[in-house]
Amino acid sequence: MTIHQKPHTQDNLEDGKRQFSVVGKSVRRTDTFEKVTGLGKYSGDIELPGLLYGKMKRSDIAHALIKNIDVSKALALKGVKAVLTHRDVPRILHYGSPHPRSASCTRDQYILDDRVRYWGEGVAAVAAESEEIAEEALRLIHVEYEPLPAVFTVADALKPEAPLIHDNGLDKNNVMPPVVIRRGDVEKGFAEADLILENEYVLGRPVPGYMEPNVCACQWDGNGKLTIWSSTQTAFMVRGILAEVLGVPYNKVRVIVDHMGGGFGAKQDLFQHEFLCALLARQTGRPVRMEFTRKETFLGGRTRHSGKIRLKQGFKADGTITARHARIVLDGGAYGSHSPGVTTVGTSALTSLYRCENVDLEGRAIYTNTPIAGAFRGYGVVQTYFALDLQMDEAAERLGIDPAELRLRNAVRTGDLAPSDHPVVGHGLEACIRRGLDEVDWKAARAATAAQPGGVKRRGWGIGCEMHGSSAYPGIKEQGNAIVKMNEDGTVTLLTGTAGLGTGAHTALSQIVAEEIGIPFSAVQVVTGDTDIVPWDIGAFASHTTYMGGRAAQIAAAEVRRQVLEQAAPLLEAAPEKLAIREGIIHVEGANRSISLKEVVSPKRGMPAAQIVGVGTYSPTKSYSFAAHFAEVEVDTETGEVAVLQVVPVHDLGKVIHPIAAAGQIEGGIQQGIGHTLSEDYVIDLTNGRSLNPSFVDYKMPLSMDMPPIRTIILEAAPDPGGPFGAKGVGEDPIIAIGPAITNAIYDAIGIRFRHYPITPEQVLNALRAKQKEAA
Amino acid sequence: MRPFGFERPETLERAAGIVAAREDRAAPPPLSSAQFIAGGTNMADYMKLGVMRPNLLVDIGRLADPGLRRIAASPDGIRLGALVRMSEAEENADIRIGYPVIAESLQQAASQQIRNMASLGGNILQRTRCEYFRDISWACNKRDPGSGCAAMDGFNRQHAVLGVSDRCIATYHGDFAQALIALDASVETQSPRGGRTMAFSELHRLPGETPHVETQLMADELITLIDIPAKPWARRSHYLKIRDRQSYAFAVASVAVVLDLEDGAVRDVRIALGGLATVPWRAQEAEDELKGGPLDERTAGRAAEAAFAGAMPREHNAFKISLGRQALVRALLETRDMRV
Repeated sequence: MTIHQKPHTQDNLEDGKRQFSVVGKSVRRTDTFEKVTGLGKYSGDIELPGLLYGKMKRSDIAHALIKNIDVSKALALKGVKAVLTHRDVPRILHYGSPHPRSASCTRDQYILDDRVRYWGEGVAAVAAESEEIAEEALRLIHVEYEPLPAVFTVADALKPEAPLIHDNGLDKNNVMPPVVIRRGDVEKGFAEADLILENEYVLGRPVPGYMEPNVCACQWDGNGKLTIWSSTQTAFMVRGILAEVLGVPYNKVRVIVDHMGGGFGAKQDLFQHEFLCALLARQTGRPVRMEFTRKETFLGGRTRHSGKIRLKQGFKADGTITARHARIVLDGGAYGSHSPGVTTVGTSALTSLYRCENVDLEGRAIYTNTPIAGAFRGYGVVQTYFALDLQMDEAAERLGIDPAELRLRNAVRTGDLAPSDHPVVGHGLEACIRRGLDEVDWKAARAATAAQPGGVKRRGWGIGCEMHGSSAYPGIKEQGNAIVKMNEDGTVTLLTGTAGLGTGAHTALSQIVAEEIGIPFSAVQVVTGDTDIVPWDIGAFASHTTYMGGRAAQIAAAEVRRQVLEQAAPLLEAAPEKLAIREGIIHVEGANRSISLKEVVSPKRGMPAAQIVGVGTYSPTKSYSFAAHFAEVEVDTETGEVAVLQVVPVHDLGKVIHPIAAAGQIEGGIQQGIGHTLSEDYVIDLTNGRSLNPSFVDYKMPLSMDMPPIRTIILEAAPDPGGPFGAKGVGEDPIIAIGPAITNAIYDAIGIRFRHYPITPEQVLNALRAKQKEAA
Repeated sequence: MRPFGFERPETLERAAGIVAAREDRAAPPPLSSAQFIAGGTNMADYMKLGVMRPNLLVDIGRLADPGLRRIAASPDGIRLGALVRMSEAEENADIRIGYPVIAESLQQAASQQIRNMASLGGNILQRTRCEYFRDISWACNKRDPGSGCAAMDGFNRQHAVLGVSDRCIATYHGDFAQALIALDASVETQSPRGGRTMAFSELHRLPGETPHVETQLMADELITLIDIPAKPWARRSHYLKIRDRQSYAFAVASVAVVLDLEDGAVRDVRIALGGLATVPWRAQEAEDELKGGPLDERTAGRAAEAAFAGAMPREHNAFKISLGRQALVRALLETRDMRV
């Protein structure tokens, strides 16, 4: 592999002595009032005169050719305005996820095809006067299928006689392009090892479970321009691909994303309904809204990749890892979506976290006739670090080394090659582990669990670690932009293209702008979510919004500050570099002269002294955030229930912009991770590909009552030269380390090593019974 | 949701009369084209899903009769109006002190928001949450009589092991009902034919050949009152619920116990099981095993064996038998150890 030695040119780090006035403070978020009062507008709230309701007919077979679709009865139903099938829509092959890239995604989707590849795929769409009429119309559409042989597991999809799901795989099979990483000499490494461990890890199929179902509303104006309100993380990508598929220039598609009820990565994809809604609106000449039911978010949404990881590592007696060999097989579902990207990021993550010079890693994603796996918080790394960190625990026990100590000995350090091939900056992981060990008094805690008397309920402590990039580079080159405009009363307006998934990112960006210019937080207004107004942005994903969008905002704000000081210099009779802005007042350093920002930018009659606008563009390379999670569990050996009693997550974020929002990300990630580990699994019938628990009643996410106390610790141990004030990402990190921490704690409690997730009560009971039998 | 008519009568008599006047008044209540609605937590949900398709809703939630909303404690027992909200009953001091099994069963049911809306009468009659019943794209004998049962060979982890038939294995998912069984409660009903009283344990019907016939009630018959007789020993009562998460989850297994102890021996005991059976389930064999003897881990274990002697598991729910036994043992011992 090549090494990207692109130096960080921005001298962006503070010397540690700077006093921050806005950054690092938990100011009131810009979105909370609208959210708690219900004033905030989501795409599902869009009401327009003459609005029609769109619904999608979904297949009730997993793999088939469509011989015929009879829509005549549906069209005849009173109130039905349009019905679209594959015969009526442009036939353009597209990437399911519209990034300006090909490496992360596979080009294998049509808006509607004459073939279905999973149970629940859209085959037709209806627009009607009411949702009820639209639903009735769906029942009247008759689809004649010619069934095709189907495969529902990776194992079946890899058999030579397996049906081909797409014809773009390698060598006429269902395998997407593999990811192969080899460094050093693995054979030599294993030969030098005192201990070799080899295990298979089995991964469940969790779903993101965002609160707001996928929804969009479309309206065409008299000039042939489309406005689409959509719940998407990637507004500009939606604009681009819609324009291309609809055959209109980019300036005739306007994408609006106001508030959003979560996405967790999955809403990077462009879904069938977004195309179909636009087409239905164009055909009927009326606005159309399409919203998924909760069931549809399972059927037509995106899942995390399930699969298997075979991991083999060699260790010396002192804990040094001599070789790492991994074979990762992921179930991509019926379409590629982010499979190539997830495979790349997950596989390359195994080059790092714990140092190892000799690695032989291979990751493959396989097509099956199951719902589509896509991008989801943690993006392949949840899976591979689950395997890695479970095996580390096992190695520690076999080597007689404390599990935390083994991690410390191997922790990635400054200058090491990160998975992205960039040198790691700082000792973030080590700092996280050490801080956590102190916080939970690890030695005493583990001694207490080791000494606990037998009983029905048994406690255990476990540790899990992770590192995650604050961007998608080098997989794709990203770009964030910001515009900061000075108003004549001294306030500023920030225009940013980053989506607000509910993370608090817009607040963080506003804080960065206020800090950089030297004005109060209240003097910044942020404008977001309208592609006609805000500057281009690649979208909110890859934990990069604060890192990339925030840096772009900082650059734009710095430019505004420069122009303001240029205006102020003659008024204060001092050179611009002698001036400082604090709380909106411009001071001459070392002299007792000052002037308000308002007086400078608008000296008379409300007329601006000059048009002051700053534009910031930032294309990040890579930085890594680190975390160590410590979890205490209690296992009820009679019921098999695992209760997480407490979690101490320690995260290195370089520089925290909004502590409460950052902690909220961490707590939310832990909640999602607890679900992945203990209760969440989207179950597919392996005889026909049908979804078996597509609802929040049957797919069990942990709720507030299930949440343990979480003592979040945020470190600023390894600031990144590329991020605003040294800040790095936090979005994905917290979901990665919690799974291994819980699973390792279960081992500490009952001495059973589970190598899969989720770990359900009945599996705990069965394993306990098997262990008892073995002992007897 | 499909369009429907809506009536809000002033009196109970009028409410029952509206349904009695309809052509399909003799249909089993779940299939009737007119349905009563009170809190609506079950009805509205199932109408949205298309499981319930009434064309008329008769709102009884605002009936004026104060008896329907009263919790009346007396030396003879406690009487609960059918329109008392779950949260009101769970917070009532007489219930908490005198009948802890009721308070515990309600506290662990559904979510706070649902308990604030749902009536006790509606809760008793809530329909199964079987995933195949709830999703109308599956075959279900309970929802569409004669269409088959997709759960038999489906993902039946949540399904019943007791009281099943070859037509239906859907679990009765309520919690409160188990407490009522254990307390020997009875219910009073009203219809145009007058009032009647029946033992609560007789209200629900086993699925048998007709899983869509769920209770002894007629379509125009309303539960008005739940009558719980006084038993000094009801203070020693307890509800244990095992579930996949700590709120908004139906029981994987639950146990209601009411225990009369004298000098360490079991003078009388009532045991009801939830999450395991097709109806609120009285475990009489387990009770018989315990009566007259000491209550310890050994005798509780024997009772647990007896309770599940007739259990019929399917592919994914066999664990419920061992889990149910463990739960029963634990519930018995915890009840024994209560300080009353």
